[in-house]
Amino acid sequence: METAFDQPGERAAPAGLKQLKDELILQGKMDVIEEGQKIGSVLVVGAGISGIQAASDLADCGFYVHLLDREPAIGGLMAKLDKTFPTDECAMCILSPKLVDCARHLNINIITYAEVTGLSGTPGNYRVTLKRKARYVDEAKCTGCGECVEVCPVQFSSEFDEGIGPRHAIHRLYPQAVPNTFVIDKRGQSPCRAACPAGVHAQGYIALIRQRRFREAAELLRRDLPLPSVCGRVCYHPCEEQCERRYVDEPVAICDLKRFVSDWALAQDEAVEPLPILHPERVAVVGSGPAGLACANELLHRGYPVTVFEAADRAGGMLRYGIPAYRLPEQVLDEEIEHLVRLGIEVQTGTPIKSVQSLLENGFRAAFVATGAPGAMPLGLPGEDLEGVVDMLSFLEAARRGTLSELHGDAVIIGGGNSAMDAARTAIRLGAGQVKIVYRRSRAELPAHDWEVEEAEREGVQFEFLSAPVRLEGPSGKVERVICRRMELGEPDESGRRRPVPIEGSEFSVPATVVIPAIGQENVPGSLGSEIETTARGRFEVDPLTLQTRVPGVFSGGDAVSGAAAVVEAFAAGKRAAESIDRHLRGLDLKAGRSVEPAVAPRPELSGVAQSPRAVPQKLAAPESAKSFEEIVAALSEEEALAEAERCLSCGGCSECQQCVRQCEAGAIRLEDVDREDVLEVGAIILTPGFIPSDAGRKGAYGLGRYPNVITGAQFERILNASGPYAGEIRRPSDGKHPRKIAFVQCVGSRDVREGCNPYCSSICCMASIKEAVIAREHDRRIEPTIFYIDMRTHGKGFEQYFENAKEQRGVAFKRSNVAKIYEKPATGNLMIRYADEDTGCIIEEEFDLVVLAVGLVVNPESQALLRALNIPVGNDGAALETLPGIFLGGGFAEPRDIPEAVTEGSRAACEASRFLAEVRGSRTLKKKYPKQLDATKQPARVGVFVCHCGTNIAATVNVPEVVAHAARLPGVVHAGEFLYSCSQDALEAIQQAIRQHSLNRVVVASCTPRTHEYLFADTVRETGLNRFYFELASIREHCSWVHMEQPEQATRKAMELVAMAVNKVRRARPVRRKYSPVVRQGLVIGGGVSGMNAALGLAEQGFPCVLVEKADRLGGICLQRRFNWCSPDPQPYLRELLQAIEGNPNITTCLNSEVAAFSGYLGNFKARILNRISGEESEVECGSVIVATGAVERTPMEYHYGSSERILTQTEFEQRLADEAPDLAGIRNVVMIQCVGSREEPNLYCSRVCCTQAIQNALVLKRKHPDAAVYIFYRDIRTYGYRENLYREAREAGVVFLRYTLEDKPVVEPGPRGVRVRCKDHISMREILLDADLLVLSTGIAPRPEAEQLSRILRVPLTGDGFFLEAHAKLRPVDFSSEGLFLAGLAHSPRFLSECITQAQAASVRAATILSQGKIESKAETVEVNERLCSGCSLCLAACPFDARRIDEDTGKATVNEVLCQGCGACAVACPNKATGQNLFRADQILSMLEPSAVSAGE
Amino acid sequence: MGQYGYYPGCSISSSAREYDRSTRAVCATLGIHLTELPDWNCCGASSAHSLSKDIDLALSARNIGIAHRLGLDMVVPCAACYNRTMHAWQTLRDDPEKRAVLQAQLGFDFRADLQVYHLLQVMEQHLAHLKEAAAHRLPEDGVRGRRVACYYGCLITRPRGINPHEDMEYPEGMGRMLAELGYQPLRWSFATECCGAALSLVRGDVVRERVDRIIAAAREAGAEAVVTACPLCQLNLESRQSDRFPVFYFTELLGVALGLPETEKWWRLHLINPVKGLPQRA
Repeated sequence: METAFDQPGERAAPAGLKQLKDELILQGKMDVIEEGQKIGSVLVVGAGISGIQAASDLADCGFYVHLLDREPAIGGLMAKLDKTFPTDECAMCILSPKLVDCARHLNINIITYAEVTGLSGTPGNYRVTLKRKARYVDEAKCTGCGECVEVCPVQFSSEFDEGIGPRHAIHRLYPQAVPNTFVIDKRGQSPCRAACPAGVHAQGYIALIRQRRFREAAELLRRDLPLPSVCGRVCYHPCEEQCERRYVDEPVAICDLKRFVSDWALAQDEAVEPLPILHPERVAVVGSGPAGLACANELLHRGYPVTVFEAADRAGGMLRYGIPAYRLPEQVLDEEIEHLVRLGIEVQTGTPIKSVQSLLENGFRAAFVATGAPGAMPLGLPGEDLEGVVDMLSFLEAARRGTLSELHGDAVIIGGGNSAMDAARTAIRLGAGQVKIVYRRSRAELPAHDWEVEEAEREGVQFEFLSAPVRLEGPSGKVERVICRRMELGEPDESGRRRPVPIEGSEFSVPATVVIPAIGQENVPGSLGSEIETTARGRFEVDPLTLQTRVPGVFSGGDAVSGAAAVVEAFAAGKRAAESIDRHLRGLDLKAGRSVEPAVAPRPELSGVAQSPRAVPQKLAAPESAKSFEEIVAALSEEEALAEAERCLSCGGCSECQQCVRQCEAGAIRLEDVDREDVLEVGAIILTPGFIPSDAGRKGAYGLGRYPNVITGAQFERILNASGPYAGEIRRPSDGKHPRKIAFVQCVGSRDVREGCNPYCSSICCMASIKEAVIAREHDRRIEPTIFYIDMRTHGKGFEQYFENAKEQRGVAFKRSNVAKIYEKPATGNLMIRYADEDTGCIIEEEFDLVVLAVGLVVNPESQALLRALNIPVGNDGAALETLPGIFLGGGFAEPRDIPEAVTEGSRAACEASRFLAEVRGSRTLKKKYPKQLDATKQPARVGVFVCHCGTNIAATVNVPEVVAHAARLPGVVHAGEFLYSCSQDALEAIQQAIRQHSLNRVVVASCTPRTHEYLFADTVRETGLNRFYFELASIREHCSWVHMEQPEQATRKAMELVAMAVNKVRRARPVRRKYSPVVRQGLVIGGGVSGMNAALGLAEQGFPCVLVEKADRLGGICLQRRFNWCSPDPQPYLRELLQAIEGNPNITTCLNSEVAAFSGYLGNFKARILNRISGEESEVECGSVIVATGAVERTPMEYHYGSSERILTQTEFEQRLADEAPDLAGIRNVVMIQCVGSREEPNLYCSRVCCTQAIQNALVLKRKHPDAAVYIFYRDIRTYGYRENLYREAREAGVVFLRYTLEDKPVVEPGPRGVRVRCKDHISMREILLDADLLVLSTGIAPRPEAEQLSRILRVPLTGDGFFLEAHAKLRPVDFSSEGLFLAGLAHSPRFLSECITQAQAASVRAATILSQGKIESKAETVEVNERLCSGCSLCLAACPFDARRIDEDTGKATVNEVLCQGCGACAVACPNKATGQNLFRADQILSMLEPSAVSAGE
Repeated sequence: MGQYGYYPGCSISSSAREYDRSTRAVCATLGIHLTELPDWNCCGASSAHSLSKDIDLALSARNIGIAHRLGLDMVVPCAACYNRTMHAWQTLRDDPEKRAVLQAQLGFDFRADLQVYHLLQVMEQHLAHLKEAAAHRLPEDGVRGRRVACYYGCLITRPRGINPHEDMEYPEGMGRMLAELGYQPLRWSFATECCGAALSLVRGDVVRERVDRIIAAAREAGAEAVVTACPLCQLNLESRQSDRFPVFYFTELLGVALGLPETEKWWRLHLINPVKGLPQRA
C-alpha cells in the first residue's frame, strides 16, 4: 500500500524532482531553529566515495544531508579510475549507480562547485557559509545534452584526464557526471580584452579562427565593433602589448587576425538579414564617424531603431577623410558601412544637425552626439595665413577627395603625432620634393607610434628634431620658408615629458612650398554648443562614466569629448554611450555596476609552451610604397592566420565567444554569472576531503614531467579508461604508438624521507599497479608489463591471490628492485631503466616503451583551507588537532586507503554524526507525497508517446517527426508528441497535462537512457495518480542515435521499432503495489570482542536497543591478549573504557556464554534463538538487523619446531612476555623472528596484514628495554603500509636487522640446548648465515574461527575460501552481507588492526541503523509471482534463489515468495519448468509482444 | 654590480685557463668585481678528505677565512672546489665545536651571512643584467644560438644539501640561463651522470667508456656541444672521448653572447678546439 494522499485542495503535485527538492529545501530553511536545539541535518564536505557513503547512510537513517564538493560533479578520485582491484570491475560502472542514487535521494541535496568559507553557531546548531562558484551554466536548465561542447572553440588539457588529452572551456567533469550539468572554465577577462578600450573579444574570435569558423569569428567581431575591417587596419592594438605570449616569444598578431577574418567576411558578400527591431524608441546619432557608428551598431543589436545623421556627403567621418588611403582603402570603409546599413542602420548624409532639442522633439527618444574634432589647432605664429599653409585635416581630406593630386616643392609638417606622419607620407606620395617634419622634442619623445615613424623614414621623410617654428615667411604672399629655432630639453612638464627650451640665437630656415601644421584637433561645437555645455577647450562636457550631457536623453562621446584620439577609443565611447542610452530608455540606473573592473585572468602556465614565430603580413616596401596610395599592408593568408591563431594561449579560459549561448536551446548559459554566498544550517558536519595523487617525484631522476612517456599511475588509469583521452586504447603520449613493454615503478616519492616526498606508504599503489598491468594486458595481449618494486604490499582481502595470479597466470613480470634512474632515448622516446637485478646483483639497463610511476597519494591540500574555514586547529604535520563536537573527520584525514576502507570510513563518520544527532533523527527529512492511485487495470490502454529530440543528440540522426507520426498510428496510442528536451521542467509539466487532457493511462518516453532518467519520468507519471509502472522508456539515444550516427534512415526505423516495443510492453503492464512490513527496532550483535562491542555501542548510542551475544564468559575477545598497539588506542585501557560504556548503556543487553543456535525471518523482522552454553537455556530475540563480529584467532604454527622448546614462541606470546617483563628476557642477546609462518603459501594464501607491524613493534619494545639485544627479522615482504612505514624506519634506525628469505629458501631452525640455531641465505651477500637465537618468535598470522562455518550455515551467509565471512561487495558494500539486513565487522571479515576493527564496527552499526530507523520496509518493485495452478512444488526454484526468498508452503505444497527478501533477479523464473513463476515487470506476454515489431521488421 | 672574493683553485690556473679567462672577461663586462683571494691554498679536493677530515676542513676553512677578512662573498668556479668549500662552510655554520677549533686555528670569525657560491649561481643572479648586456651586442657568431647539452656532473649538486640552489637530480639553472641568452639547451638524461673523473688515473678504461657514453648521449639528443661548469668534467670529457665533440665552459658561451672580442683566444686553449667541432650552419 502506498501512502495515500487524496485531500482535495492541497497544492498540486510539483512536477520533477529538482523543483520539488528546491522547494522543500526552501521550506526547510524557513523553519525556526531554537537556540541549542540540534538540527537534524548534516553537511558532508567532499563528495568522493567516502562522502557519498556517509551522505547516503545518513539520509537513509533519518537525516537531511547536504553533500558538497568543490568540483562541478561528485565522484571524487574513484570516478577517474578505470577498474578496481581485486575484482577488476569497472570503477564507473559500480560507482555510477551510487551517484545516481545520491542525485535522486529526496534527503540528499547535492551542492557542487562550492567551498566552505566559514562556520558559526553552536555544536548541533551550526551555520556554515559557502561560496558557490560561478558555474556560468544554470543547473536548473541544463539538460546535459552536451551540444555546447561541440561549438566551444577553446580547449585546455583536461585535469580529469590528468593532463593527457584536451577538454573544452565548457565541459563536464566526466560523461556520467552527477549532476549532469556543464560548467564553464572562466579564469577572468583575457588580458587582450581587458586592454582593449572597446572590450573586443579578441580571444574569442582568435579561438574561432583557429577552428576555421571564420563566419562565427566575424560575427563575434561585428557584434563588438561596427567596422572590424577598418579597425584591423588602423588600430594601434593595445591588446598586443598585454598579450601574455610576449613572455614566450612575441605577442599574438591580434590585429592582423582581426583584419584577416573581417576581410574574409566582406569577401563572402552574403545576403544580410536586417536585425529585428525590439523596441519602439528611436535613437538619433549625430556624426557617422567611428564613435557614432559604434553607438548605432550597439543599439541596433540591442533592438533599437537608429538613425545616423552626417553633415558631410558621405558617412565615415574622420575614417574617410582623416586617414590616408594607403592605410585604409575607401572601398573597405564603404563596404563595412554598407553592411551596417543592410543590418538596419539608417544613415542620412548631407544632414547637419543644428539642434539636438529638435531631434528629441521630432520623435527621437535619445541622441548621441559624436561630431568629432574637425577643427585644426592654429599654430599661433606670424605668417600662418600665407598661401601654402594648410592644416593637416584639410590637406588629408583634399588628398583623399582627389582635389589635391600633386604637390610641387618642399613640404614642412609641424608636429610629431601620427597625423603628422600621415601628412608627411601623403605629401611624399603626392610628389613633394623634400618632406620634413619639424618637432620640438627629440626622437624619443615622438608621440607617433614607432612603426609609423620608421615607415615614414623609410619612405624618405626627414626629421628636424629639437626644433620649433618661430614664424613663417613668404614675401610674395606664398609661404617660402619656415624659420625655426633649436631647442634643448629641460625639466619635465606636466605630461612627464621634458619640456623643450629654446636656445637663444639658434634660428635657422627650412625652405617650404607647403607648410602643414599638425599639432592637434578640437571639437567645433557650433550651434550644438548652445544646447550642450562645453569645456574651456570647446569639448562637450559629459559624465565620464555614462557620457551623459546635462541635456536629458542626450549623450556625447568620441573626439568631440576627448579631443583627437585613436579610432578604437571612439568605438569604445560609442559603445559606452549605447549602454547608457539603453539604460536610459529602460528607466534603469545609468551607473549601477559600471565602474567595476572585471578581474583579469592570471598568467597561464608558460613552461612547456614552444616558441613559434609571429606572423608578419606581406608589405609593400619603401621606396615602392611611397609611389602610390596603394594599401601597404596585406592581410594574412588563411594558412598564416590559422598558424597565428594557434599561438593564442587562451588566457581567459572561456573566450566569451558566445557560441554556446547561441547553441544552447535550453537557454542555460549565463555568462554573467557571479560567485554567490550561501548559508546552511546543520547539526553536524563530516569532512571527507579525500586524496589526490601526490606530485612527489615530479622532478628528479625518473623524468616525470620531462619525458613524455613517463607518466603517473593516475594518468595510466585515464589511458586505460574507455572515456579517457585515447578512448581506452593503450597509447603513449609522445607519439600515440601502442606501447609493448611497460614498466611500473613503485614507491615513487613514497617511503622516502627526502623533502617533498612522502615518508609513508600509500598502501594502494602495489595493487593498483598490478591491476593496471593486468588490465593493460587485457586490452592488448602484446603488452609485456614489468613491475619494479621494493616490497610487494598486497595485504588486503583477496589481494595476495590477485598478486599470485598476476605473476603466474596473467603475464605480469615482477622485479624486486629500487630503480636507480630512467634515461630517455631521444630518437624513439623509449626509456632505459637502470636497476640492480635481485638474483645476480648486476646493474642492468632495460628498454621500455612506457613507464608508469606509482606516485602514491596525499591528502587533498585544499583540505587545509577547509580546516581553517571551520576553525579547526592544525598541527605542524598538517593534521587536524581537535574539532568541535559535531564535526567529524573522515576519509582523507587519516592515512591513505583503498576504496572499501574509504567507504567504511564514510560509514564510520556517518555513525558518529548519527549518534551525535540521535535525538533529532527524522526531524528534517522530507517525504514526498503522491495523490491517491487511480485504478487503471480495468480500463483499456490509452498510451501517450513522447519522443525527445535531446537537443540534436537524437534529432540530428533520428527523424523525430516521423517517429512521432509512426507512434501515433500504433495500436493503443491515443496521443503522440515531441519535445526538444523531455526532461526539462516545462516538458514534464506538458506530459502531465497531456495525461489529464487525453486521459492517458500508459506513458512511453522515447529518449536518452533509463539509467538516469527513468526514475524522473516514472515519478512524473506517478504524480498524476498513475502507477509508476505504467511507464516505459525507449532508449533511442544511447541505443540508437548515438550508435547509428552514420545511418539516419535505419536509425529512424530502429527508433520506431523501439517505440513500438515499448508501447506493446506498456499496454500489457500491470500496476505494481509495493508491500510493506514493519521493522523490529532492535539490533543483534553476534560476538563480544572489540568489534562487537563497538557495533553494539554504536547502535545503542544511535538510540536503538540491541542484544550483544558473546560466546565466552567475558567481553573483549582477542583484544584481551593485545598488550601493545603501534598507534592509539592502547589496548587494555581502551578495553576497560569500552566495557564501562557497554555496562552503563541501558540499550545494550549482554548475553555471555551464549551463541546463536537458530535464525529465521527476513529483513527488518529476524528471529534468533540464543543458547546459553552453560545453562542450556534458550531464548528468542527479535531484531531488525544483525551484525556479525565473531572475530578470529591467532594461528597455531606447525612449523619451525613450535612447541618443542620454550624458546620458540608466537608473536602474541612474545608480546605477553614483553609486556609482563618476564624475567628470562633480562639477559637476552639474540632474538630471531620469522614472518609469514604458514601464511602467503598454500593452503593459507592470504596475508594477515598485521604481523609485520606487530613484529616490528615488539622488536622496538625489546630494543627500548634491552638496547644490547640483537633482533633479526626474516621476512618476505615488509608490509608496514600507511604510517606504519615510520615504525619500520624507526626499527631499522634502532638496529633491527631485516633479512629476506624466499619460499624456496626458508630459514632452517634447529633447536639446541642453549638456544635455537637458524640458518638462512642472506639475500645481499648470497651466503648462508647462521644465527644462534635465545628466542625464536614466529609471526603466524590470523586464522578464521573454526565455528564460523557453523554460524554461516545458521545465518545463511557465505564464507570466503579462506574461511572468513564474505561481504556483499568487495568495494562498495564492505560491511554488508548480500542478504539484506545482515552486516559484518572486525576479524570475522578479514585480518586487520584494532583501529580498523573499530572503524568497521561503527560503520556496520550505522548500516544497521539505516534499517532500524525505518518504521517499515518496502519490498522491491521487481519481484516474482507464482501461478499456483501451474506450480508442481518441485522445489527447483528454492535452489535457484540466491536470496533465500522462496519456500514451499507446507499446506498447499506450492512455492511461495517472500516479497521482502525477493530481489527480482528472475533466477527462479528461469529454473521453473512449468513457467509457474514469472517476473512482475517482465512477464512473458510482455516480452513476446515486444518481439512483434522487430519480428515484422526482420521479416520485411 | 657586485663584488666577490674569487677562489680560482688549481685547475683554473692550469688546465682550465680558458675557464678562468672567460669568467674574468664576462664579469668585467658586467661590472662584477672579482677579487682573487690573496694567498689562497688548495681546497684538498683530490685526496685530503679521504685521508683526514681535519685537514680537509682546515684547508677550505682557511680560504673562507681569507674571504671573510675581505668581507666578501666567495665565488668558486670549480665544482670540486665548490663542493669542498661549501662542505667546510656548512660545517662552520652548523657545528659550533668545529667552528671554535677552526676559528682558533685560522684566526678569523665566521660569519654565516658571507656566502659561498658556485660561479653558476653568481651568473644566474646577474641574468637580467646579462640579458641586457647581450641584447646590445649582436654580431653574428658561429657559436651563438647553438643546441647544447648542459652537463653538471656530480659535484655541483651532490651530495644532497651541498647546493641549496639547485635540484640534486635535475638541476636547471645553466639551461635556464643559456636559453635566456638565445642558446637551445636540450632535454637529455645525462646532465648529472658521473663522468668518472675520479678514476681518471687508475681506471682509464672505465672513464673512457663513461665519457663516450655521455658524448654519445649528447649527440643522440641532437646537441652540437656539451656545456660544463666544472674544469674536471671539462678536461675529462675533452681528453677521454674517442670523438671530437665540442665541450664548452658555460662562461665561454656567456662571452659569446656578450659579443666579447677575445673568444677566439679561449678556443685555442682547449684540447679540442670546440668551434672547429661545431657542425656547419646551413
